[in-house]
Amino acid sequence: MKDSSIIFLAIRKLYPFICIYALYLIYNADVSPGGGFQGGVILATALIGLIIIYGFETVQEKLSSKMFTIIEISALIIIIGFGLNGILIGKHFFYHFSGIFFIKAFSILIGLKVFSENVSIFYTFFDYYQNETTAKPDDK
Amino acid sequence: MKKNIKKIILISLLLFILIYSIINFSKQDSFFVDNNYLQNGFSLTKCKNIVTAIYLDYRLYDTFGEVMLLLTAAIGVKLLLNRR
Repeated sequence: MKDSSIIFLAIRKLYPFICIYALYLIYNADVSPGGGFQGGVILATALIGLIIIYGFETVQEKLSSKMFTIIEISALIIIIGFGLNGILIGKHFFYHFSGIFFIKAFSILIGLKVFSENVSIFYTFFDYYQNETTAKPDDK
Repeated sequence: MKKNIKKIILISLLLFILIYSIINFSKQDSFFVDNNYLQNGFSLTKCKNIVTAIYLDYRLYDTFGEVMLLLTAAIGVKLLLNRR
């Protein structure tokens, strides 16, 4: 797959546009269709395209799977923290804040979380696949 | 053949319940919640997109559950396929 110059050129030219589109979907969730889930999945596809053209090891040196796990868990903790903020005021969990700031903040947090989750699932699949394909000649 | 008869009876019962509820769904007059959302949604949440106003403000609990479901899927994949 690395040798194909068509895929290399197409993904390298499309990569910034895919990223900008995903960030636009995440940030403008309150005025246009889209939101955290869709934008996060599109960001994950951009990174999967990078893995297709540069190879798994090259990408994993820069963006390790441990980093994505840390992003995922910290985003979840911040979301639960926003929810507990309602209890501190004296109302119920996830109290209705009635503000555009909280909708944007939740959208960005959910986008980050879905992005890192999908990438970590893909890393796990790719790692398993590589171990399967490389371990078979050694067994024989 | 007897097993097939049981399956056919079960499936036809399920289909009857589904079609009956779909036909009678439009006869209901009391949609309190969605009229309330459409009328007061913008003034309460300041959000121009009513879909986002519902799933990130009114039904934030459901969205939180969806996020936890994705986390469960990721944990399951890591548990099953991690070979270290």
